[in-house]
Amino acid sequence: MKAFSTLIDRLTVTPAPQHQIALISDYLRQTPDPERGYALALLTGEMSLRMTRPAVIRALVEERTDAALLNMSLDYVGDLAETVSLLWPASKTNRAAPILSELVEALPQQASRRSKADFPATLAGWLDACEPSERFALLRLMTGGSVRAGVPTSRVKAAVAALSATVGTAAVEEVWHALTPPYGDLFDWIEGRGLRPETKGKPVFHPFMLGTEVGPETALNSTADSDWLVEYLWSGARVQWVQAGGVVRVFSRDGDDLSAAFPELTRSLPVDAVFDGQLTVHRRTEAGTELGTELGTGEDLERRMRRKTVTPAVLRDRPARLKVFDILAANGEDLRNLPLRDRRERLAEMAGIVEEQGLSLSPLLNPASVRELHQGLAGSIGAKGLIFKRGDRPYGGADPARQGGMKPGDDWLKWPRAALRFSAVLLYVQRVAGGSRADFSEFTLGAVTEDLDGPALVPIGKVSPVGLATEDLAHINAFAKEHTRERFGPVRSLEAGIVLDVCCERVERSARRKSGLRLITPRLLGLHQDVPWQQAVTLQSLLNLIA
Amino acid sequence: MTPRLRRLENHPDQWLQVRPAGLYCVPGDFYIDPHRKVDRAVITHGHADHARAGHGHVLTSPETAAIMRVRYGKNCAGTFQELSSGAWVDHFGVRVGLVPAGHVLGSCQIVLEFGGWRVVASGDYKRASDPTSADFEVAPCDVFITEATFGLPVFVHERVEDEIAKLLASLQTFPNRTHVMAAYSLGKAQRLIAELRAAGYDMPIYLHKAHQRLCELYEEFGVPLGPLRRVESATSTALKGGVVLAPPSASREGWAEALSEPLNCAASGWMRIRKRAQQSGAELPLVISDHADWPDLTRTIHDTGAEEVWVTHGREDALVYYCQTQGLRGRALALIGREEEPE
Repeated sequence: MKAFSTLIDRLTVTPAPQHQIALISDYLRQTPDPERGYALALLTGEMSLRMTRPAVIRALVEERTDAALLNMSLDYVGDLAETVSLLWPASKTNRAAPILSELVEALPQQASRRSKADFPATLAGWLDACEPSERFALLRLMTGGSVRAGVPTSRVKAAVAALSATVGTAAVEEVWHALTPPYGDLFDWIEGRGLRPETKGKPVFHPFMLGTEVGPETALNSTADSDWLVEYLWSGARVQWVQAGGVVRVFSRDGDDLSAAFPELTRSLPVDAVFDGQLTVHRRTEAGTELGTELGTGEDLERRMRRKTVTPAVLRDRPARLKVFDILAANGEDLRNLPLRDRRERLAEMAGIVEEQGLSLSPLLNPASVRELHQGLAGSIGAKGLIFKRGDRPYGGADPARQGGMKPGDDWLKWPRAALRFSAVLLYVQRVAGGSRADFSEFTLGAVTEDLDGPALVPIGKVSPVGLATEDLAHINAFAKEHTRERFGPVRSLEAGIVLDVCCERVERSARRKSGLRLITPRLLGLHQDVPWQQAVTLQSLLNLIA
Repeated sequence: MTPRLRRLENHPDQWLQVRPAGLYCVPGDFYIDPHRKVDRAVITHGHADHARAGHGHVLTSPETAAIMRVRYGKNCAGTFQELSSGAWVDHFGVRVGLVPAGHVLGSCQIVLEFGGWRVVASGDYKRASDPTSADFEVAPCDVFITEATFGLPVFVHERVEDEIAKLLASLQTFPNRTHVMAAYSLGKAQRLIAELRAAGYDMPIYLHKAHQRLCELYEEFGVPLGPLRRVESATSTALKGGVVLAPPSASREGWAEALSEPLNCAASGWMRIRKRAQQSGAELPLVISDHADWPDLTRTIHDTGAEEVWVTHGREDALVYYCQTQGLRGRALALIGREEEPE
């Protein structure tokens, strides 16, 4: 437990991915089976050791500590598990702190009704044997809290791969979903004692092929070459749809299993297959008309991706759809080494059965008219650009011996829609705490609305001052000195007068905001010196930009 | 024993006051750790919030006097009177003695005897072992004036050797990263060095110039610190996989900017609390403190046998409450005498 809790503690305060990987692989190297396998399962969220509720823990600590001191401590620390981990009275016990394997063994017993009453005593015994950091990890595990410290599963798999000189991250990702804790066969393979675990007939993840973002020149020059296929670049989330042995899984870009969150996409096909595609979340329109007519916002998508399970209401009001654009395997045959044109053929052959199951195919576009297509993007719902793909190339994730994860390649080129550009009024400035006077950390922008008394301003979003020239910042600073209306700590509200040149990727609806919209990745391009604020963008024209 | 009536008349309430400059002993006409210039001061230890320059006369341990001279200059006080622990002076009827506090080199508790009462002002103290400082000694007393920096039961420090083991393990895991330890120049820096040596780390340790002079002073007082180098003159290659000790403010200096992937460490009792550890930005927060943790604060109160405990600087509430639950008179020192005590 000590090594595991130390690992969790360090991951929490280690920001760089490569350093997190080093910490995890060090732990895996120094920890025996099956202990490290259970740690792996907990770090990837594949397993939960939830055995009790916070109220039970609270009752245990209340029996052992003074109520007033407990409350003062809780007030100060703010977290029950952490407070209890520190307050728990040290006791002289010969027992060692429980190891993960011991906790895993206790899990089924805990499920039976009879042992439930004994559980507080068992837990107290464990806590007695632990040190503070171990207690914290134990309490988090017992209440089903996450110990993942924000580490994505792909990084944990990279740490497993780091144990081997020959097996890469992609290869680990490919076998991962065929395995179960405590992963003895995985370690045997990685450490050269055994064969690669069998994945045939199991729904496993295939590393994604990634594209590179380019500007119009590169994109248009590429189309001169006839060997490129053109498709829409869809907004939404990249996912992989896998069916093997009749079992369907939907994997995120990180290789996490999203199947439970998207049951409407897991109806099985008459044949096994692996598709690459883009997942979108939609909003049911008021009239209850055909689904998918209105694309949901980024927030809608994030919310559904975070869910562990779904309710009928969510399925009805925020349905998900999948646009398939590539096929990686069919009927047990790996197609990744086929050129894209051939893969597309195979996909087209399956179009009928794919669409019967609620999935749709992303169409191939006419390469002769990419300019027109790109200009007309606003008219195609959910398209955020075009993507060019070499027709003669295999699927880039095909080599399982390759080291490291997928790197963006030149076989797929993404040409996103031009940014939206408008002028907005500076409403609030926030200074950097402790910085010099001209150091701003954040600007709040406003758009013009028509009020009864004439034009007024409404906040539309915040933006970093990065991108403005030093003299522009000096100008704003001088203006702020003379024209501050109110101060709220480090924030000042300004009189209308500064108009900024702003661009953003797109505008989304947001019910939570007064303006009713959210700017996606806004940036500042410069300062408009001679534009009166009344001529800045109107709220209505921004609302009209919502796709 | 002294008759009870006389004892009440001479209760320390009557002759120890909180004044704007700090804790004042009326019959002796001196302050303990005053935070303003005064004529007579008794100083517990050399940290800047306890030892200030400019007093007329200073009574303190030989080590603390030396530390003050190094930090503030030879003429930082009108006169120094050095008192070894175990020795006593009589001053206007007040007996004053010094007893080791275990906080940093030269740190002492101050024992005052007057009117049949014995008062001990702990200053800052710790009871964990520390190769760079004399061990804390329990001084029995009637009134114990205790610090309360970590006066909440959640503050339970780790064993220092376990924390040093974490640092050594990290050097193994990240053999190419320079481990930059933020540490104040008096006490924490030297203790970390000495504990690293005790754990068998014999590589040169790199010091910021702010730490150099006090490390030399520690060695003059017989605390061996092993091979030390100046960080400013070391190449970033030499620093690879090494340990640097620097004040927390030095992170933007040239040598620090030149490091590739430095690993910032912090050693403090505050690192016990996850939120604080995360806010510190340190990738290796170590729970090492030169103050007593809650178990040691409460143990010490009992060990002194004091019936009355005055709690000063820190989180007084919980400790005062604890004293009351133990049948002791516990009071926050700020409440005595003046309402607007500045601490």
